Amino acid sequence: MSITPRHLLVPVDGSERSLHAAAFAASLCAGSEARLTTLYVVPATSAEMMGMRHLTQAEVELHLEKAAAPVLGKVSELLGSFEGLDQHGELVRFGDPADEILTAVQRLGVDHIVMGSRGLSHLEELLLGSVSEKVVRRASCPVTVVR
Amino acid sequence: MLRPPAHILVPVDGTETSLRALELGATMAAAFHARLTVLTVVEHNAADDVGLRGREEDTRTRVVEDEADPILDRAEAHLAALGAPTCTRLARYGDPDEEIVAAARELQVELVVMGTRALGRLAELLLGSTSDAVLHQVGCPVTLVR
Repeated sequence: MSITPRHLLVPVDGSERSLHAAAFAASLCAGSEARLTTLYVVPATSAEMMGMRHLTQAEVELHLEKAAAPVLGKVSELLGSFEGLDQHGELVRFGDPADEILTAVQRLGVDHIVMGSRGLSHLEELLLGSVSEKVVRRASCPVTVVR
Repeated sequence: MLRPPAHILVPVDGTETSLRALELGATMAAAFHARLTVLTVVEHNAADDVGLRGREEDTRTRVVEDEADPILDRAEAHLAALGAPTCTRLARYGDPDEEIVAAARELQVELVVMGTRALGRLAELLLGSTSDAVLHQVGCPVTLVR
């Protein structure tokens, strides 16, 4: 079928719901040729990003790796339990989560996003969560929101 | 840990976008070994209500079927052309937002896959109002297809 996902992106933030999203995506990929990329965006405001300007690329990458390790470790452990999932990649970015997710979709040629609905605050949990709301509105590919 | 959905609901309205959503829903149903229910909601408006008032229940059922059947037939034919597994058909009458949310709850589906209808220059930023309502009110995961 033409709409069969070939490259799924799962933005994760370490929350239970983002792990549910990763499990959902993994069972969709398992046994198919689809690639699965997990993305962790280290949230950073533009002011924080300005403050990082004096760092070298290597220093920035080291900082991001450290920040991402606990989250991606958890996700990787979970995905390891899925049989038939052989194409799994990881990506770490920093900045505005929704913007970085949408940029990754374009750059990687992602054709399906699976994400948790959790927002950044308790109030947002009642709604959809600002990140998923923005992604759902702007993404050009199908988006699955997992609660 | 969350297990894969066992029952998927795809609301269709006869548009191309809703057929694309149906394709993805069928793909996911195959991947998850899930049941697939295709729903169409015959929208009611005040004029229809006046026309149907006082009629026999089976007349009203027939009016709904007359509207729903061609849409469901087309959806089923689309699935058959793709070689997809069979689906259960469902027609409801009323407000699409409410009926889709109610059907998802009553059938205890574990995933809703639907198209988003957004027209005009701001299409990129807007969702269709029905998909927006379902996304916010339904308790299970929702997949939106453009």
